[in-house]
Amino acid sequence: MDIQQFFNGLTLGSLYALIAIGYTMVYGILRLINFAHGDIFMFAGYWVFFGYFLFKLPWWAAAVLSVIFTAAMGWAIERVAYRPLRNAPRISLLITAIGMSLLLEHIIIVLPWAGGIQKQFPRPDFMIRIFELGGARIQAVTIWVPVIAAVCLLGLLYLLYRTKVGRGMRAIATDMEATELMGADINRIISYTFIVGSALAAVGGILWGCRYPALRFDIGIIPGWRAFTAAVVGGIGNVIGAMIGGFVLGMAEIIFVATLPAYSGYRDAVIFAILILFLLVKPTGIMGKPLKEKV
Amino acid sequence: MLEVKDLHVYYGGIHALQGISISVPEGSVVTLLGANGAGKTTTLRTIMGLVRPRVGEITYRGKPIVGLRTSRIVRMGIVMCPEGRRIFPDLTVWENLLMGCYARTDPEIERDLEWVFSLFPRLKERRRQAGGTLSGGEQQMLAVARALMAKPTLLLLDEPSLGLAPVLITELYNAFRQIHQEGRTILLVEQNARAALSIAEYGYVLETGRIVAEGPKDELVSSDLVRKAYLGIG
Repeated sequence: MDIQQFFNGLTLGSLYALIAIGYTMVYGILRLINFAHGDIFMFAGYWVFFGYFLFKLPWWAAAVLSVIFTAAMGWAIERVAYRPLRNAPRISLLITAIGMSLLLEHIIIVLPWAGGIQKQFPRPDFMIRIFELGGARIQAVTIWVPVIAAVCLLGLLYLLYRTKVGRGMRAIATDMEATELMGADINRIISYTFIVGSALAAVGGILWGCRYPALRFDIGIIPGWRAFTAAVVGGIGNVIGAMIGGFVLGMAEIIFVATLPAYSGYRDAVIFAILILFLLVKPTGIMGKPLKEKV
Repeated sequence: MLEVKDLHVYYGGIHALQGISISVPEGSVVTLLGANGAGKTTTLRTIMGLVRPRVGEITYRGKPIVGLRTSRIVRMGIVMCPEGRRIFPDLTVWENLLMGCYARTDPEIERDLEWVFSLFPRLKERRRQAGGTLSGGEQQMLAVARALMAKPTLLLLDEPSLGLAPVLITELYNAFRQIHQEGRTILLVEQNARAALSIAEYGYVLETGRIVAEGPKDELVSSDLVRKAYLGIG
């Protein structure tokens, strides 16, 4: 594999990892597959689009605001749609998440500045610059994405292992009721989880736009599914697993496309074949522990 | 300190608590005895706000607490150490203890950490270990220590001796005596009546959601019901 493909794989893997974390954190706590997560990711691209073209903000300001607004959306979705169903059967929650996903997509379709047609994501110059590295031509974005993703992931690990709310997130994922018995406000911890997961998806969405600048209401669906697959392959509920799963899938996809370019249309088939393989051989994923039945 | 009056709890169609009334005076150790399914755990869970009673009143220091959120009840000073330990297996011993003081911001956390380590020195040795790697007895100590870190004035203990070797039960109950001497009030739920009555001053006996006997320790120890069903004498 040449150096260019390596960076392509690293970039794609970073993007999947950033999205996969939101799936895995929410699943770890609520046992919910948050179908709206891919659309939250999609929305981040539109926030930049609105900020840049509609409000004429500098690109970096639009990007920062996008992360904030997207995180706020994640918070609001949990508050309005999921929290009232905390004690409802899981299936109600799952269907609500699907409904939320469709709602977000259709908000984009009906917005006059967005609509159902494809838009161009604004890319700053420093992202699309091309330079030579060891004889290969590398686009700056393929360096920026892994670097920014690494910073975000290290920040997340710091939050989880060195702060009080992070400790709360890890505790609540193993035993929500025991966490509540410690006097912890579990609603607050869950809100933080959605905020953090959505903010990371927003970073992923913005970087995705820099890499693949087509913007449409449905761009979150396929990356969402792939990232969810990454979360499962890594071991759903496990944050480090989601990171590893993201990189494994991103690399696998690029290797497949690079070695068999004529079959690149089958990339999703490869990804889901990996999913099926894991579900058959190691259903708990790379980092997953065998499920213990609660007695 | 804690007054429970005529508590009725339903799980679906099952009438789990059928009019429970108990009273825990400040500074006392009160025990709730009974077999599996008698409603002991349900009583504690209802006090903690994890279960809503259909009928009944619970007051703590004169204030009604039914309908309050669990986190609010914990901050008022009622802390429960749940049945089956329920420690956080992936968190270290140290982190488990810090989870215990999640709702606290006062400056006495350090002092309380020292205190629980003096009660259970083995936890100090193992403070960097994941909670799930401890033995059953150590996990129970961790669960009690973690509850103490929440600064309880009233400590609810749910079957702390369950599944422990006699020597560990003795060790644990010695710790309970010290906790009591330090000024905490304890409501102790047990199947192990012998252990419970070794420290309790007053006890209630629950059977299928009803209180069938109550009285001071000596009275219970000499009553036929308790002797036959719970102490295995006679």
